[in-house]
Amino acid sequence: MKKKLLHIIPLWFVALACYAQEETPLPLTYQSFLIGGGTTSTYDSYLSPLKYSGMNIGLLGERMKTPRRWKGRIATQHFFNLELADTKNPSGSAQSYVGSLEYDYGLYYRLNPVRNIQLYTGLQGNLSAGVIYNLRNTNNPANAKVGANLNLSAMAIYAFQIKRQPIRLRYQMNVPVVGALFSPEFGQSYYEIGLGDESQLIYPAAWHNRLTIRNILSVEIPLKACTLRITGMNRLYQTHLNDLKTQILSNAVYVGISKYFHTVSGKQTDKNKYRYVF
Amino acid sequence: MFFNHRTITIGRRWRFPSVRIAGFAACLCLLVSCMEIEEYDNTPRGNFEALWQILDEHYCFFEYKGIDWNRVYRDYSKRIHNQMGHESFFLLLDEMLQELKDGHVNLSSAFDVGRYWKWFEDYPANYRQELIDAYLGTDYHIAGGLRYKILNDNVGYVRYADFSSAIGESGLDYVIDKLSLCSGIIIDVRNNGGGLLTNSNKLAARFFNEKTQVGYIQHKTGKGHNDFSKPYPTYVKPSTRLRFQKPVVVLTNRKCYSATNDFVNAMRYAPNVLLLGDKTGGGSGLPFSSELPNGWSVRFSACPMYDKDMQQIEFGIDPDRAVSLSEADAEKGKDTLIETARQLLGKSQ
Repeated sequence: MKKKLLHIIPLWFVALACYAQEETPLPLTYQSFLIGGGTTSTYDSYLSPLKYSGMNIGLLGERMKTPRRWKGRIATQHFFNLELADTKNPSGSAQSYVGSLEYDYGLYYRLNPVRNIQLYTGLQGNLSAGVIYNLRNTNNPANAKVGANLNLSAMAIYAFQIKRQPIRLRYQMNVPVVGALFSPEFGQSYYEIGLGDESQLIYPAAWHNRLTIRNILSVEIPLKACTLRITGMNRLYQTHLNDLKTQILSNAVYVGISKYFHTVSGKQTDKNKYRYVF
Repeated sequence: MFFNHRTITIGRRWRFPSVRIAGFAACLCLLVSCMEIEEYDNTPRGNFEALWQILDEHYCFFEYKGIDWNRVYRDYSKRIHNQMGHESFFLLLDEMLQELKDGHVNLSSAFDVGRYWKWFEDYPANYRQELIDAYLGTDYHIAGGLRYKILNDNVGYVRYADFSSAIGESGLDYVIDKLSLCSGIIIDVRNNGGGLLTNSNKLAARFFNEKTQVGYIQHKTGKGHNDFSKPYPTYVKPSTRLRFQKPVVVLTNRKCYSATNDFVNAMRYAPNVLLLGDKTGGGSGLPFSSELPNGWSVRFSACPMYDKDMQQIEFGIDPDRAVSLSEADAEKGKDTLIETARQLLGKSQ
């Protein structure tokens, strides 16, 4: 009898563990990848007193998850955006290239205030690197745009159907609060920076000297194998530092796909319900 | 480990309730910039204002040259009217820029380039290309932008005509190795109007044995005429490759400008170096570029560079030994500057 009990007790633990696992929803990872293009206008007083405008192309990638340890109330987001633009001055006599790469990592708290509507609100860590390269200029041909920020971010998702076709609308907005920003001084050349001039190059950034806002509106339509995603993105990068002003405004439409998936490690394979896959 | 992960794709089934199309308030914030950006009309008046403003905020030698830029505005503003033709307008703006007396100031359009060349036009050339060609002959060597040969009195002659022409470190190794048995070398940078400062530094580094301060550089920190940063010292660090240890004579004339002026300034502080010829043309302001609404571009001195004693070298550097090209020598096919340098290097042997 004693022996039997010894066998039964571990079985109970196993059973409880299995029950617990079944109760915890499997956290799926949302991932999307998009490609797109649109228009860009730039102004950088370090390079020119004129506004340049032209076309851009870009890539956008996003990954979101609601990790199990936070019971679905907290979502994580990885977001990256690469944008390249070819712009010209108003007379068309000079050209400049604009490149920017941004990465965000966000943590969001999820709310479901109304049926069919989800709200996410949270904070993002943002790293950005970019450059405006003016082909006409000689000793001031380019200006780098590098920064790290803490963003406030919010998302609203609304799901509905049109003729039995489910559709999801999502709007996200990011506004940086504090951070750090690279900038040369008013007339400082990159040649002098290269010599090792100890002038300050990194500055604290907040709303008084930097305003960067990103608005993203997405429509997602599920198809058979994946989900079609169409996104409109509006991005403003604006700084006013050392008497230097920069403004980059871009509007783009991106098209791509999104998917949900779950990744299991080799070790986990034996312990969860996907053990049967391999 | 990558292979320890399996990816299972799960088709997403949305279970939304029955059709209830509600208006989703997608508040895509239309962004209104609160930053004021000065915009200029593409008219003669607008272009004039833009040019005056660009220089007012960025030009670096107003104080040193004693230029009253507001007086310039008053004088030229009344001559501007919107019915001006392109060419007359260009000439007027160029005339205004001449007030700066700066070879680094240029106004460029599709049909002309405005320039100030009095830094050499008002002085003797002290240079004849045919004489240089005769000294080099046809059996000279070429290493990047350098042309070099050993003259028959065992003096090395190196001609560098343009600091925009690349010079590689291996090329410099070959030049120095080849000329190392000479009694000394002549570096002829006459009529070299400048180019890349990095080339100036790379060449000078072959003649220093210790890290040596050769000057200062400053930049503007604001729009005021006297808003300058603390001067930052500039150095020549000795090359870690072959370095020339024997006497060197650097030949100069009024057409040594910009990066060449910087090279000549650095060589002043190198051991065993003598500057010979005429005063250099100057051009110590690192130029920046900008543009006007009509598409014309403007270049101007933006960052002043000084010598080691914080003295301006914008109007040139005096040689250690002033020598002019004599007509009598030139008629005999001799370059007075090269011949004087050869005598000096011969004596030092």
